[in-house]
Amino acid sequence: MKSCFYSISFLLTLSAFILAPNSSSAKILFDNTPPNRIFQDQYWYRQATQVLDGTGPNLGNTGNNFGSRSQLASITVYLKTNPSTKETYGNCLLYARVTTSGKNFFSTNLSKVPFSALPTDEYKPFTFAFDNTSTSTTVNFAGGEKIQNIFIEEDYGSCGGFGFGSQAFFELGGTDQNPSNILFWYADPSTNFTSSNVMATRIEDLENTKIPILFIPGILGTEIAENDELLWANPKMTIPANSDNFMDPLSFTSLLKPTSNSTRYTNVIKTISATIGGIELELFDYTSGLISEFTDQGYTENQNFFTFPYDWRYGVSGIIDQSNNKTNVNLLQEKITEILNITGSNKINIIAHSNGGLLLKKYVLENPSSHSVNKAVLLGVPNTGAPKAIKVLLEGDNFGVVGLSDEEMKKIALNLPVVYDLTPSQTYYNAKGSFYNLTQEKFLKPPTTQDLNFNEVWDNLLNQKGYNQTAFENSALLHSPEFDNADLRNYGIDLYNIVGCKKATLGKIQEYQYTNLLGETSTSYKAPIFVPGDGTVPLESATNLPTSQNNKFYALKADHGKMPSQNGIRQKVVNILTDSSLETPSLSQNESDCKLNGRAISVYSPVNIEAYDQMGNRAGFAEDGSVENNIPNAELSIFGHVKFIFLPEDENQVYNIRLKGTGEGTFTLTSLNIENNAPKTTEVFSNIPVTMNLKAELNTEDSKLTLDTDGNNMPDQTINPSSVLSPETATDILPPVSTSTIVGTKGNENFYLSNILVLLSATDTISSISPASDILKINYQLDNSPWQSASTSSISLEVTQETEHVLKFFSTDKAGNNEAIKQIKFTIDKTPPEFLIGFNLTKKDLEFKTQNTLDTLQDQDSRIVATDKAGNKAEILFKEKNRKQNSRAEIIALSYNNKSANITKTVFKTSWNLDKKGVLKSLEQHARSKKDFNLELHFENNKTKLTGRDQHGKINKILTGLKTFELKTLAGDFEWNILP
Amino acid sequence: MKKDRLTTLTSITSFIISLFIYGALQSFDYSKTSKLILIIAMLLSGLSATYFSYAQHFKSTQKTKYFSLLILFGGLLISLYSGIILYLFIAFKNFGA
Repeated sequence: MKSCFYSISFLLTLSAFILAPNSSSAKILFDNTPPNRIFQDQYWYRQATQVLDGTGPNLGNTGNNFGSRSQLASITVYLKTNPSTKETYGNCLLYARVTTSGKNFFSTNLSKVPFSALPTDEYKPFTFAFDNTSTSTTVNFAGGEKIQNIFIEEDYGSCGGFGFGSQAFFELGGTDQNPSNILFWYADPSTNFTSSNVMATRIEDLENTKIPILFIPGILGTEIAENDELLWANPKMTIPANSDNFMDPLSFTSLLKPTSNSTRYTNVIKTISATIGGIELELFDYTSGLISEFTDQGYTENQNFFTFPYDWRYGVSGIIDQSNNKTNVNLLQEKITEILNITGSNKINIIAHSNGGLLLKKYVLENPSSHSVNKAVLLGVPNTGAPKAIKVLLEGDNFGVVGLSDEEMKKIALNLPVVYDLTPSQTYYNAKGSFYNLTQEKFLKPPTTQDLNFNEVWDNLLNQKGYNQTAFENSALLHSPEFDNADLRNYGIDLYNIVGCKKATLGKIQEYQYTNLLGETSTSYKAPIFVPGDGTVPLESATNLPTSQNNKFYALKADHGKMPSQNGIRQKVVNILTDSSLETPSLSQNESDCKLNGRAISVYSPVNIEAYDQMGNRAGFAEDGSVENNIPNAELSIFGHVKFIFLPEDENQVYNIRLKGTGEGTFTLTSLNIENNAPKTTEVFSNIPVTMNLKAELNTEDSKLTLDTDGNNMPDQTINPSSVLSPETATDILPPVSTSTIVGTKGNENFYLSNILVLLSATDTISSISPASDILKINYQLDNSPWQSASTSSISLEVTQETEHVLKFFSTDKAGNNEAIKQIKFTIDKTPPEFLIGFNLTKKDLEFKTQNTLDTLQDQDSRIVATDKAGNKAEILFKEKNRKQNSRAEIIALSYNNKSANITKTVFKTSWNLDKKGVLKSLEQHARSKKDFNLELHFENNKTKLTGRDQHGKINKILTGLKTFELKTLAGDFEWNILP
Repeated sequence: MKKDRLTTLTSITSFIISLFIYGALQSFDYSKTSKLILIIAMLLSGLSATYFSYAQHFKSTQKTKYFSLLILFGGLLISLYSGIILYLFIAFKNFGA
């Protein structure tokens, strides 16, 4: 029974064909040449290899209108099979069946073809004839009737009563050079058919036989909304001077759950676009270009090309639903199952970008025998992580978007599992070495530096800086050696890896901590170390994926976030998955093409920096830190207060670097020349004074820095590098250490009783990982005078002025490392105290004071000593050993700081008498200075007689009451006054 | 032609050109590059309309004063509009996670 064939048919379903005008035949050609869906020379060109294994779809009731055709004579089909089928089922026969309006017509027995006749290498034509011997073999068309299906089927009876199911197959198709075809021969060749009868629907139906493709995006690759508001990626983020806190709901709690329960992911980003005033502008293309490229190859979105939107915040390790431990990996599994059900395919091809690659790896490892992945193309996957993820935790990042707040992204990143999943793993450390250097300097202690190992990095981040312990532990569990080094080829996957490699990519973070006298620690960052990569993922991490050399491609102009749609990369992806041969510019299979050649320039604030190549392309920072980069393969970033630009020099580019002052202070510029990944010379311009008016230009050809200090666009000064370092000394990261010594007569505490010399000396610090580049200069500032510097490792400064002084100083090494500013305070006080000597009526004795109440006085009767705060001393010696008992006192010596003053011409004598009641009865005083006065005073009977002379002449006065001298010593002489 | 008249004519022409470009952008689907070129042209013509109408405004008679003011604000508006679009394009030019 022929009807039994229906159930075992291996179907080739063709429900339309071309009828060539003025011809008795029509051909459907099968061809490899893309695009594979064109109508040319009245033929439809189709995909070359159509595997007919019994699982293909029956395309249903579509067909061509045959008009008034009367009879089909034969069809010719180009066929081939595989060797095993040919051997096993060699005797089984194939025939053709044509259906029209519910009727079936079968090719003749004589035209049946055994499998043994089919070739296995190239296609050959086989003609199946229809004759007029029976109604079943005569294909007659009534007017307006359509051919609905054409089947190439197995003759069930010829195989001894059993079918061979899906094991047997033959292929229908052809090659570029020898396109196969199906020829329809009509009994009435003069009939006037036209090509307008072509049924395009058939083509789309056949598309379903393509292996479906799934694109898995990376971090930030899926839109996330809260209620109706798009949180990521909303062009609102570009509004300048905006905190971007509308994105706060993207953040997670410390328990790794969203802070907002209303957030949900929507679609994989195709483009970021904005519509303003009715005009839509595409701002950024993530997957649109890639999808278009596949559409050109006959793929249709959601029919055989799919994308996997997911909540990237959870990364790979994050638990989305605690009740069933559901992760993004489980969602990926569900998505793949859904796609296989929709398409009827039993395998799938994957394109995975960035974090999407980690998801894919985890999915395959969790489903080693049921993953269904046929081919996988990985784009810029951080297999062992990327140091940039740590940078995002520490400092945030605007990912190149002008106006996007680094601080906001830092805030959001704090508890996101995906950020931790993307940090460098233990495997990264084992392969690449340390990705984190920590230099610590404590007040008055020499600085130390060390390259932290993996655990030390996380000790610093978790215990000192308070990052999320659980997220780290989950990430560490994810990045087991088995995961990081997984060979997906062992799971039957045809694996391809496309990595970006010519961009300077963050490879090592260099943190600097300073702890002041109070124990307060401040953190800053030195210029990071950059390595080859795609700007985000180091090459080392992206290539940590076992892949055959033929399947590894290096994108020489890759930009990590744009890789899926980037020119060259997207065509290569299409070529891999569709056997196309599109042009793939800027791709290489030679890793040596990846070496970095260029100039790494770092500037320490307060200056802005921009670079222009000889074509006038600009790369630079805006005032808010955002980036404009029009120089191919240039890289810009800000880390703390360091601004960094890498400028490629592979093609002998010459750059003009322009600097503009943004504040007051000094800046240091280092220009590192890199050849084939290796650092060569480093030019350092140290501590250049900067003002808001400063403009400066550095030409990379002559390495001279031209300064325009007043901003009038006229050069004021041209300077050479402060130092040029070798590759060995360029790695000096430790600041030097300066010490100070004061030489002079020491008084109390910080007082000096003489002129002093301050000796400053500096030594460059050395450690096992930080060689000494030697001292460049010592910088110092005395009180509020301008900073000065001396290009030497030691210097002495003479200080003579009697006052309190503050000397600030620090030294700079030739690598541009500045030590923290130190300061010493000291006071020069060379002036001893002077006495004020009077007579105290209450005590009936001489009374001694100094002008400064802080001075101390010792009255030892015959010896009076005054000491000031600095330690200066003045001393009076009286002739009488017992002044109080004898009621008389005469100064016989006066000394300052143990040096006697000459008082041979001066006199000060006092004698007094008391009556029996102890009341002052009389008092006599004689005071004489070296030249101004010579006076005597006598008190008795309540009258005081003053005689002698002063600088104005003779004095002879009688005054009522008791008057006494107040004598003031003055550097060995006296001044007088009379009291009260 | 008198200089004043030339200024007036330039401002009006610039403004009409900018409106014309705006209309074209609304009506047709251009490639991204073509869109950008047109938006830059719109910005330039908008700025031109603003500049020349500003120059003209203070020389205008009472009758034409309001007209030049209208062109001035129209030019400003269209410059601002095209400026914002260009800014957005530049803002995302280097986006890459």
